[in-house]
Amino acid sequence: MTLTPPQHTVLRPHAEHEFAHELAALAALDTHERPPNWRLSPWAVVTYLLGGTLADGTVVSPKYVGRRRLIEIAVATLATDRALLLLGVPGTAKTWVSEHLAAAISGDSTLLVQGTAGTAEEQLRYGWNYARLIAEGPSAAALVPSPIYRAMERGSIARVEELTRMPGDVQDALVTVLSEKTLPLPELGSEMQAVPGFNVIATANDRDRGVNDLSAALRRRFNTVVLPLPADIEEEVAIVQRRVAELGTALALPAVPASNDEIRRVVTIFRELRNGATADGRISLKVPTGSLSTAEAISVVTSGVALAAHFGDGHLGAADVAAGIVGAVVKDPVHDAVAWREYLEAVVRDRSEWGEFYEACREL
Amino acid sequence: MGIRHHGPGSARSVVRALALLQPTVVLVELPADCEAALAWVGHEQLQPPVALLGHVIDQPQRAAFLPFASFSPEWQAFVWARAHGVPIRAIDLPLQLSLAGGAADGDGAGDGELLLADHPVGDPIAALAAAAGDPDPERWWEDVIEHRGDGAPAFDAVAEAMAAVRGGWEAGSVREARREAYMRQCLRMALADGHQRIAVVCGAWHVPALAMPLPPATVDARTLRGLPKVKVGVSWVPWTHRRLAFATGYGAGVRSPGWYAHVFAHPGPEGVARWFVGAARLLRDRGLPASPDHLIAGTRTATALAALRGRPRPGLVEVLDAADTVMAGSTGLALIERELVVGDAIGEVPEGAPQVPLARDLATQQRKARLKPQADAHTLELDLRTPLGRSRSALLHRLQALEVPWGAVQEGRGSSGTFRETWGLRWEPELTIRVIERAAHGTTVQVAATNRLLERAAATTALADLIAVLDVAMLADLGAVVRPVVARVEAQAAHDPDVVQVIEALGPLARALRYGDVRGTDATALRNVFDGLVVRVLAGALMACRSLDDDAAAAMVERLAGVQAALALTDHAARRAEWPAMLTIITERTDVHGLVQGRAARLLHDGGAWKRAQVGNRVSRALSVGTPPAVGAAFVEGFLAGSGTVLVHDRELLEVIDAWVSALAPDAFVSTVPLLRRTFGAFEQAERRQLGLLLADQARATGSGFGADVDAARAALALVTVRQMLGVPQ
Ligand SMILES: Nc1ncnc2c1ncn2[C@@H]1O[C@H](COP(=O)(O)OP(=O)(O)OP(=O)(O)O)[C@@H](O)[C@H]1O
Ligand SMILES: [Mg+2]
Repeated sequence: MTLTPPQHTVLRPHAEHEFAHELAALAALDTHERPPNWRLSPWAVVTYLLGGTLADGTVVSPKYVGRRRLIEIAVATLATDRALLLLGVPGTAKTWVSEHLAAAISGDSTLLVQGTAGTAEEQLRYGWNYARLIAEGPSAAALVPSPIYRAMERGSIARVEELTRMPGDVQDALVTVLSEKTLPLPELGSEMQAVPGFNVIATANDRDRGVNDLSAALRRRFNTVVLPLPADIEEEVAIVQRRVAELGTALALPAVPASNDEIRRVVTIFRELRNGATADGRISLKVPTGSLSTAEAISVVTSGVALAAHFGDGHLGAADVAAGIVGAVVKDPVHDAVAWREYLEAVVRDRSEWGEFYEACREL
Repeated sequence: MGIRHHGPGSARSVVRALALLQPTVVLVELPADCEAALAWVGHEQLQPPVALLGHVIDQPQRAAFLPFASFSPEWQAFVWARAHGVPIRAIDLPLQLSLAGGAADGDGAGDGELLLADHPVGDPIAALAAAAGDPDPERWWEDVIEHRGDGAPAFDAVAEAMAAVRGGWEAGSVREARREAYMRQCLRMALADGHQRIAVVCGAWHVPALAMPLPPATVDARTLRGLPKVKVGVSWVPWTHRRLAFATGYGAGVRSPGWYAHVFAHPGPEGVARWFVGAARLLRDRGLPASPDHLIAGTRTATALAALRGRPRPGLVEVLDAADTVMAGSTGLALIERELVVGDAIGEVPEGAPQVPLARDLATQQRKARLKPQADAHTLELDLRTPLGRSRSALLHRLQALEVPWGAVQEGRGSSGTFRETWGLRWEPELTIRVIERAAHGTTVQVAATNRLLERAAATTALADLIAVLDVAMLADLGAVVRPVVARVEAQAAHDPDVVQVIEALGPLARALRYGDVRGTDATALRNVFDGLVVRVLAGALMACRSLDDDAAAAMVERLAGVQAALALTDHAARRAEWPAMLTIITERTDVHGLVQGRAARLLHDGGAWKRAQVGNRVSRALSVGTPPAVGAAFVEGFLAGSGTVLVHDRELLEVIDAWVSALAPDAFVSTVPLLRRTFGAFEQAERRQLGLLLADQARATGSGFGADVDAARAALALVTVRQMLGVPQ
């Protein structure tokens, strides 16, 4: 009863479909021990996330670019059946890592609860089909399972996005699930006991801290992995490059060579603005209000590529990214506009190779 | 047995191999002249971490430390040999030779310490581990060497690997060549003595150099011929885990001695859980949350991580990663790093063990005073009314005199003249070497401190320096210093043309007198000097106060206050007659800076020499039309001395000043505003608010008077407490 059309026609296939060949190759070659109901061993899951070349020559693309240690801790956590909380500022690949972990471990990244201020307990536990409930009384058939319920049933990974946006009392519905691995069903006089392999990956945003902070009881059920912003510019350029190429293919954009220089410029600008200082540390800058993470850099470059392909000369140039950059930086019309103008005049103008970009920005 | 210095894995292998081999003699890479000190191993008071300290007799700063922890393979070899009655021989080049070289050979490390190992590959086991892609040499040893089987085969593997690492490299530096020649000579000697089963415990690096068959002895004999020698003293000194983290002696610094000690003590699989239990205790001690659930999660995560990384068992990296993720964001992580990974352990050395006489006396004094050296910073409160408090204080001050800073008196709390003294203490092992450096000053702490202070006094002619020496001598209860230095002070004060120096000497001297009272020292000599100085001050004060510029006036104001405080502290007779008379002259003279005039008036007010009316007159004169506004403003600043209290309590005075400010002509007002602003800006916020209210007539002066209806019985109760607080007998 899925509404998903055959996979090649969707805009953004789930990880388990997009990388099905990698997962299959890993499963075939994986000799390490697998925890119950895991599709792959922890070792293979780490390889899937960080990339590598397998014994049979299959190249596994890196999904997460960053410190190996973090992914190892995340996978080891899930292997101990403790829940995993991915924490970080926006755009640090929390959702992305969570999806790939679920895909690699359970072969299914779709058991997902999206946390919002309006999330209700039923979305974490179960709801009722009221027509049936009234007609037949409480029965298993009238129960509408939540993604977490289904994950418990199957021994899969369930994902909870933006955990801290949910109201505190709704969050606490997770406590029993995580510690007892059971879901009481008082209406049916029974309970749902999780099958081995069940676990939860939650993501939460560092910036939202203080909104609905996790209760100590819930926090204690999670191991926390903090995903940092990329350590240096090379790493960040590599991430953007890789993701832009992948997205270009997915969006069927005409092949536009995404020039390395242009990517480097976008990444440099974002890093400098969010650090509040130029890379050489000489000039201090106002920090814009919006988040200027790798994710924003990726989307700026991707839309630049689209512009160049459809309206430009087929090459990604300064003019193609300028509008995207300004749009990403200037979120607050007053403060950010000042920050951007200062950056433009104090930094961009004086960089000799950035003349064209400077002109492009001034024309906006 | 090729070992990694301070490697717990090596240590365990050594113990196992010795038990298997049952050697008749154990040869250890250790300077040969340290052998005698090994007789102390096995003494129950010799507790690692400890170090052997070798120093050149006449130049104690030329020294080498050889630290040992419980998990050092050499230490374990000593312990095994002692327990089994097997002789130990130290086979490395004697310190007599290696310390003789001097910087000319390029082998003296910084700070006069000597780094004994200087082969090209630093830590060869670490180099092997790095080649195998593991940043943690201990874990690599664990994984690769330890898990190959029992002790002996492990060492074969090490020997093989080292032969490959060394390749064709022949002991390159002259020093290395001499050391290995010496080791071979010792090995030959053991063979000649008829030993059949000889165990040699040495750094893995040297194993190939000692491989059988040995080369002809004549070559080695030539290498060692005619080397210069120095006299060396060897002693045991307590060491700390934190110090082990520094590179000194054999082997580079150990980054995680606390963890190593743990791994050595608990090699079994339960070691990880134990470590987390220790961590939880530490956290709870500091009031941080650590539930059993955290421990279980930590242990399980560490184990899962080890499995994922293909390690037989979790190492430090896994344990820290697990702690990190389980307790993300807790302030406890830094604590764990400091206390468990590095650690605060401090060793112990028996009384009778070889030590320089001064160090031995220090140990005796420490025991008498019941003060144990501790590696972590802590505070000590002393009550100087008790004999124990006095003796502790004297010992600490004597060490201060010897420039062995075990601790420092915490300012503000142990203020002068009270019965209380608060010390911040922390014993660093390098203080041991400071003690040895001072060994030449005497064989006991008392004698050495006396000599050191006399030396300092002889080297100076400045009155302030002499007083500083006296100060220390009084605190340290060193009567033998007081008399000669007092004589010097007297002579110096008589000849010093600068009365300012004499004034500045007064304060410290008064404090020293006061300590004398508190500590019951005889201070007659000191009091005589003090009297002499007071006479000089009275004679010269006016001269010193005339014709000063703003900065000099500001400094002088503080000195006048210092004199008054010194006189009050000692309850000197001049306080009642001569000094107020002097101040009166100062405040009246027109060639004295306004600031100084003002402060003199204030001191007269504070000392009770002037009545209120007199004070009021003087202030209003300073603020009347005849006085230039700038001088008036300076007077006010000097008079108020940075606080508005006097105005809050004295309505009349406040009115005088208020009237003056209100009556200033516009020009004069503008020019005096900066000065006034500086004066009033320095007041406490609360004072300013209160003054504002008073001037706006919204509050009444809260004088110190009480109403007529004081309840005598209840007041008496309060007085009991006040007396107790001030230390006044009931
Ligand atoms: N270190 C990284 N390695 C690989 N991709 C990265 C990395 N950092 C960011 N990205 C990319 O950034 C994009 C956005 O990441 P994602 O949506 O997961 O962020 P998020 O942390 O969930 O943000 P939010 O808090 O806003 O939900 C993804 O396309 C991801 O590929
Ligand atoms: Mg997200």
